[in-house]
Amino acid sequence: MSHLVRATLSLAGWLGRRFDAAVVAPGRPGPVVLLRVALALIIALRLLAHDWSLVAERPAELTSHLWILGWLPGLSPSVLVAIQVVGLAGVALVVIRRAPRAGLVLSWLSLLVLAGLWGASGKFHHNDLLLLTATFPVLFARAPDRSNRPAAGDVAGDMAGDGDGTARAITWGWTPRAALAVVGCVYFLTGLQKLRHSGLTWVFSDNMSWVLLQGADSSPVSPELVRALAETPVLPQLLAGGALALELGAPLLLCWRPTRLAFAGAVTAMHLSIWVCLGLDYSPWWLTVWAVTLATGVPTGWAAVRDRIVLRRAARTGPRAGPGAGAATGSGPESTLDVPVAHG
Amino acid sequence: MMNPVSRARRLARGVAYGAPALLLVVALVGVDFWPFSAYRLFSTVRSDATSSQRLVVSYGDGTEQAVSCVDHPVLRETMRFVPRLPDVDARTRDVMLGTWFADCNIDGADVVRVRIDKVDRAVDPVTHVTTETALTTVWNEVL
Repeated sequence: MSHLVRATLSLAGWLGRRFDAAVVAPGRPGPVVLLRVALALIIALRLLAHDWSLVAERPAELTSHLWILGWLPGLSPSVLVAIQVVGLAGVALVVIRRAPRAGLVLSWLSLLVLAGLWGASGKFHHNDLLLLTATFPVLFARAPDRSNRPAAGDVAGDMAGDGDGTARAITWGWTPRAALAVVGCVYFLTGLQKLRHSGLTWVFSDNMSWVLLQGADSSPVSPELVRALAETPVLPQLLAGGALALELGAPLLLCWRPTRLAFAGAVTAMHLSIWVCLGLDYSPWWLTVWAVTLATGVPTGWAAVRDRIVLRRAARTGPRAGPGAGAATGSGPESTLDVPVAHG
Repeated sequence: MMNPVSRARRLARGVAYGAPALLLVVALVGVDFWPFSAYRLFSTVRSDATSSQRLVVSYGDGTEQAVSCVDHPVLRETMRFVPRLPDVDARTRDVMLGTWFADCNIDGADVVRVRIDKVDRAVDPVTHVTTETALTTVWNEVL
């Protein structure tokens, strides 16, 4: 018995070390650059989605204190618009690759404040939550310099040339993986809460039929279609079961590169069907999933193409190389043309 | 002094393990405190029955109107605070009602009474028509 326990602990320890080594393994800059730009563009879409100055028309008596800023005195319309403009300026900094890290922090903070204020009206809004949560780890990613080396003052010691002319750094490796872990965790939690509060009744009862029937009038496409779906035998249970399986399976599906794109496609189909049936727009969720997936999970051939495009552009527009960059072998913009594959 | 590689790995582990762990703890505790959430999205089982609270105003001539007309993108959702009306002080109540009345073009001077009705509804599984099955007044106040 003790041998079995010892063997199990030994195996668990070995798996843990393998997992940890994979998490902190150095990575190439391509995925980080792509992920940062993609997330910033989605943040820009969200910042442009509302007239944020309307928040100023809500009195304090009708503001919920779901977070720290909920306790502050009301912000004026001009301050709200200024926060929006600062956020969009941050996005621009990311896209043109001038202080992209600071730019992402600015845009993230801007959306965090504005979406939080907008949602402090009595109902907790989840629309922007996955985007904000998945972007959080990327805020820590240091910017590669023009030659796609860690910038001046960066952790030069964790950088390793891999013989193909492309540097790797720990900061570029773990940030996309952490974003992936956050996305998987959020979807898993949405599934876990269904099981926790309703159990398998959530799938095998008439639950989904009633969800569809009660939300049919909000359908932007066809309430009749939604009612027909709700009345089709077994279909509502299949939809519920598929959604729950997808959410609970998210960590595993995102763990392996070949299943990441399938997960992104399935999640997109799920959120679009929610919009078709109930009129609820979760586009920031599936856009975020695609951003993280394309940065970390594309097939080998496409990854090479992606990195060539991203890094060639980075080499043209990125900040100047810092003093530490010249020490790396194979530096210079031309070396980026030979990036074979980024393995996120 | 920690070398750059150790520092980078420490940060990596802190965020890569810490962020999912924090999300998990918050969800299990059940806290919704922006930007943290328990992620209870559609997590309860629905049935044919629903229930909600409705704010109704009465005018001096005896007519009544449900205050469900708020169209403002931000203020619309503040109608979720209606159940709080019985518990707030008079000044807060006046601000809340005044905000909703203004967006519904209701002249507060004409309103003599406000009340909250708890409305139970059921969806007919065949006709899909929603009908009110019960109406209970939970708060009634003369202004």
